[in-house]
Amino acid sequence: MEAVEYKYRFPYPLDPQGDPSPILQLRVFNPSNTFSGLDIDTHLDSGAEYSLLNGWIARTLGFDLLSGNLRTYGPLVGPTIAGRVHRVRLSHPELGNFDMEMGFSTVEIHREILGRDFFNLTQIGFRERQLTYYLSTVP
Amino acid sequence: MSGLQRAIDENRIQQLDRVYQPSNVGSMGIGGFGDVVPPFNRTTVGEGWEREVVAPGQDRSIPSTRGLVRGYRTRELEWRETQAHMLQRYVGEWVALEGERVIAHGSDPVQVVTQARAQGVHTPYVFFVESRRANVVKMGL
Repeated sequence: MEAVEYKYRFPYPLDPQGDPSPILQLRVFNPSNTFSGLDIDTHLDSGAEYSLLNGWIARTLGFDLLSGNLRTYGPLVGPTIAGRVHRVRLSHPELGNFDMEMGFSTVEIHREILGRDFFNLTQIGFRERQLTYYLSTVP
Repeated sequence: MSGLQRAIDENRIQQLDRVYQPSNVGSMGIGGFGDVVPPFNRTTVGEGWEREVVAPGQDRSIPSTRGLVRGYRTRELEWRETQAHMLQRYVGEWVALEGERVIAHGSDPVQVVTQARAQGVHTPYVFFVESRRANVVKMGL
């Protein structure tokens, strides 16, 4: 059996409702303008093939939302969600920077999702019973 | 409708509704099963298939040490954890939190960011305060 070692341990922070959740707080930048970014709570979601942030975030970072390539998200139920893809930099003071092609939703969502495209850049393990996740920056 | 849901007739759904625990409160993301979400404490779905499911939080230990990894907004997270009741006035709104102070809030997140930046906060911390709804749990997409 393989053993995985992790460098960082994250107790689940409480979300605004007061519930412990697998949230990773990140700073998101437009790589061409790292002066004005946005700090957001992202929810780690291994069930999501790709990450999805709110489209308004793209606007505040200076992107023309609809100029990005289309990525269609198929949720568990209901209509698909049209996302537009822009290259962003995700930053964390200890984890470092992650440059990735990020989907931005064209409809408002109430939670920012980090999916398996982000998991592909890292190594993440969950201990739900301990309300804790572990992360290393070497995938 | 899933195969599992098809297997549940209306009477059974009503029975399920009766065993729901009002203490199991949360929220969910996009899409969901509405009123046919089974309870956490006990799930009774279909004949011959009964089992208990432990409620989130009931069997899990709240980590004794928080903030092992310092983020950009550790101070704000700590405030949010200790002052959660303060956020209830902003339910349904986007909030920009700087330190222990709400510097902007409203239903338009772009306006919230604009107002925060106008106060000199070039990289504001913004989040949405969801409402709590009974018998609704969180999920992703």
